[in-house]
Amino acid sequence: MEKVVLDVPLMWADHHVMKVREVLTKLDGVTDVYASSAWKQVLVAYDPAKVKRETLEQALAQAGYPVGQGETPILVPPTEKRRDPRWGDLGFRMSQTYRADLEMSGDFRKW
Amino acid sequence: MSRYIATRAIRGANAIVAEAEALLQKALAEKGPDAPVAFTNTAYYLPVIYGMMAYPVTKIGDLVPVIEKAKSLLHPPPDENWWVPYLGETLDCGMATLLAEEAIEGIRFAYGEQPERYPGFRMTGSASFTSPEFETEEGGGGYLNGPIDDIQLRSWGIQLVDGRMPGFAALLGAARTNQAAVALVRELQRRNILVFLMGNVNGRSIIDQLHEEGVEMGYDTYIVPFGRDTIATIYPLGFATRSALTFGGLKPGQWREILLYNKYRVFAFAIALGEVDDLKYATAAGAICYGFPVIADTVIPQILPTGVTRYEHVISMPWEEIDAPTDEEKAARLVQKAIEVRGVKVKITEVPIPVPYGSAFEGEVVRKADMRVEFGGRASRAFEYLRMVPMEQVEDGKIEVIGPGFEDVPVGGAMDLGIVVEVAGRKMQEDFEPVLERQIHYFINGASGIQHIGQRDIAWIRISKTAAEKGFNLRHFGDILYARFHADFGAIVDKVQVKIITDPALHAEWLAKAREAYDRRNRRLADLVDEAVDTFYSCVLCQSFAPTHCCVISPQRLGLCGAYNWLDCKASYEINPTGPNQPIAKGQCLDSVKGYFTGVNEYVRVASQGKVDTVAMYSIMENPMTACGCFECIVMVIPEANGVMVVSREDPSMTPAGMTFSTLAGMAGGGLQTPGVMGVGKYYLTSPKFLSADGGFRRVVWMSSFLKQTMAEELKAVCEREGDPDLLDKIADETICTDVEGLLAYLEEKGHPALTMPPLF
Repeated sequence: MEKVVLDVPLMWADHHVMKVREVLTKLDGVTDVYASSAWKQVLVAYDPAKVKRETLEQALAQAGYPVGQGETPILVPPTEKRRDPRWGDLGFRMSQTYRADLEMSGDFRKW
Repeated sequence: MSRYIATRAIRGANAIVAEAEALLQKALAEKGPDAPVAFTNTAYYLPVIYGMMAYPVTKIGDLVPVIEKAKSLLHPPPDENWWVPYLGETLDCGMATLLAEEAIEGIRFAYGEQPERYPGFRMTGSASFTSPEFETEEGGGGYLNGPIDDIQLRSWGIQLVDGRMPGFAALLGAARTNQAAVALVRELQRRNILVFLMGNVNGRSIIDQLHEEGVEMGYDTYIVPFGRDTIATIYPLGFATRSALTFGGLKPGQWREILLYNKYRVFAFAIALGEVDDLKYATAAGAICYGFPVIADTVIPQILPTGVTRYEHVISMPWEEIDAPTDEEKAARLVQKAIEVRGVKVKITEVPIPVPYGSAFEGEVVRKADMRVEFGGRASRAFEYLRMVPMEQVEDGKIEVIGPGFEDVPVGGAMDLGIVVEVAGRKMQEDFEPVLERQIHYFINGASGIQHIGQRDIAWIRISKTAAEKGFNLRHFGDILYARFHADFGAIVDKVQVKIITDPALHAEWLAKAREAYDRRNRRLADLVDEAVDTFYSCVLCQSFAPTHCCVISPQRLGLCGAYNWLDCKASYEINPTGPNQPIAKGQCLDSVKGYFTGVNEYVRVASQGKVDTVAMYSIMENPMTACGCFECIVMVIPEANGVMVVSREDPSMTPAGMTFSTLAGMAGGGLQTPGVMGVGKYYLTSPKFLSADGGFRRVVWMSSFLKQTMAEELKAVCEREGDPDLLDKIADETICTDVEGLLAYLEEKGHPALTMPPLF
C-alpha cells in the first residue's frame, strides 16, 4: 500500500472535494482518500499493484482538477500601483454610524 | 481585521464569482436565456438577490446583470507587503460571494440538481407537503431540503417573535465524530434554536453524521439539512433576507436596512466545523454582512473587535482545547460560546425527565411502528383537566400516579389516561383555567419521543419506544407539568399538584367532572361578546419583527396567529403587566356596525408609531386591521364574485385571485392596512363578528379545502347560524376551481347567497 499527497490547486471549496473524492474512490485499488479544500491537497492511499499514480493524476485531470496545475481564479488582480482598482468604482465608504443602525439598536427582544 | 482571513475570503469570492460566471455561460448556451429559474414555494424569487438588488430573477438570462454586480463588488487580494485597510473590501467580497452562490443554486435548480439528491433520506413530519413534487422514493424523500418554503418561514415567525425560538444556527462542515455532531445539535435543540446544516469536510457532512445516528431531520424537529456543500449556505441567508422583507416591512433593494434588521433582530450565528477553505471564509464574510458571527472549532485567526456584528466577528474555539471530558460537555461549551458571541437570549426550563426536553421537539411525530403505548385516539380515552383549588388543598410538587402504569400494556397498545392538574395562587382566577390547561399540549409535546395532539377529552398522547426504553413513565408527565407551570406561569401559579389517573373507576369519575367544567367554560365563552366588555386587549408581540403592526383582540375576534384570544390576553396581562398584551379601553363607540371605537383608534395610533390611525374591527373594506406575517388565513375580496375567499396557510395551491398563499401574504402582512385583504386566525371565521359589517360569513365564496375538512363541525354550526345550513357546500375550494371563471360558474350553479347580496363596493 502506498500513500501520496497530490497538490490540486483548483480544489478550493468543498463542492470540488466531493467531485475529487468521487473520481478517486471509483478507481479500483484506491483504498482511502483525504481531500482538503483548505490546503488544496489530496492524500490518496492506493495499491500500486492495481493502480498507478499516473492513473490517479490522469483521472483528476480529466475531471478538471490537474495535479500541480492551475490557480484559484482571481478576477481582480492587484495592480502595480498597489491601489485597489475598485475603490474608484464603489464610491464613498460610510465612516459614521448609519441612521438606521442607531434606530434599530434598541432592546427589541424585551419580551 | 485579520489579513489572513481577508486574503482568503477575497480569494474565495473571486473564485466563486468566476465559477458562477462560467456556469452561467454554460447554462445560457445549453438551456437558453429564457429557461426558468426559481426556488420552490417562495414569492421572493432568488431572495438574497431580490432583497439586495430589488431584482426579480425568473430566468437564466436574468442572472447576467447579477453576475456583473457580483464582479463589481470584487477586490484584489491584499498585497503581501503593503498593508491597507481591507474590512470594507472583505465585506464587499462577502456579498459578491452570496450573489454568486445564489446564482449557482438558481442554475442548479434549472438543471434539476437542487434540492440535492440524497438517496435513502427522508425528512421527518410535515416537511414535504409543500413540495410533493420531490417525493419520489417510496415513503417520500430522497432529497435534502433546499430553500425554506414561505409557508414555513411564516409559521416559524410567531415562534421567532415570541422568543420560543431564540434564533438560528448554521452548522457548516462536519463534526469530529458522530457523537459530537449529535451532541451539538441536541444542545441547540435544547435551547430551541433552529439548526441549519450544510457543507462538508473531506466529503463528509454533518448531515451524513446525523443521518447515520438516526437523528430525525425536518421542519418539525427544527433541524433543516440544506445541502452538502458550502454553496447551500445561501438558503439560510435567503431565509434571513425574507425575514426582513416579510416581518420587517422592508422593501427589496433596502439592502442596508435588511442587513441591519438581521443584525438587530435575527439572532443567527454560524459554527464552522472542521477545516475552513477559501469559499467558507468568503461565505462567512457574507454572513458577517448580516451581523452573523462565526465560531470555528478549529484553529483560525480571530476577529474580536465589535462593529459589523454586535459582538466578536470570528471566534476560534478548537475542539481539542475545550476543557471538558466528554463530547456532550464540549458541545455545550461551544454552543454556550456561540450564544454569548451572538447575544442570543435563551430561556431554558430544566425538566427532570430521562429524555431531552425543549420546544424543538414539539412537532415530533411518533409513528405507530415506533410507538410503545398510546393514550386516547381510537382505542382509549385520554383527557386533561386543570382546575383552580384553594391554597390549602394543594401540596406543591405532589405528583400521584393513581392506577397501573403502562408496563403491562403490550407494545403498540393503548390505555385510558386522565391528567388532572390542580393549581392555586393568590393571583389565579377561574378565567385562567382554560388558558393554563391549553398549555398542557405544548408542555408535554416538548419531551423528545412524546407526541401530544388535541385537548380536553380528545387528547391523544403517544410515547415512543425510545422514550420508554430511556425510562420515561407516567409520572414524568407530572414532572413536566410541575416544572413548566412554575417556570412559565410563576406569576399567577404558586402551587401545583398533578394526578395521573389510569384507575378505571377514578378515570370515569374525573372525566365526568372535567366534562362538566368544559361545558361551563363553553357557556361562559359563548356569552362573552364584544358588547359585554369595556376592554379589548392589544397584542404587540410581533412588533419585534413587524414594528408597525398591532393586533386588537376582542372576545369575538382572536389574534390573527390563532394563538391568543381575549382571555389569553387578559391572563397574559395579569402575568406580565408591562408585557405585549395591554388593555385597551374601548371608549366611545363611533360605529357599532363597522366597529369603530375611540379608545381603539387612539391606542393603535400610538402603537403603530403613527402609521395607522383608524381601525374598523368588523370590516375588511374599510380600515381593516393590519397583520404581521403570522396569520393562519388570508381573507381577500374577489370583486367579480361579490364575496371573499379564505386561504389557509396549509394550502399551497393557486387561488381565484391568481396568487398562492405565499404571494398573497406579501400583501396582507408587514403591518400594512390594505382594504380588501386581511390576515386572520381561523377561528375568527366562526365568530358572528367575522366581517359582520360586510355581510359576515355569507360573503365567503371560496375556502381552502383544508379548512373545510379540519373545521367541518364548527363551520357547519356557523352555516346554520347564518340561516343557510347548506352554505358550506356552496363555497368553492381548490379542488373545485382555482380561477374566477370557474368560481363564478360554481357559485351560480349552487346559488351562493353572495351573488344576490348588496355590492361590496
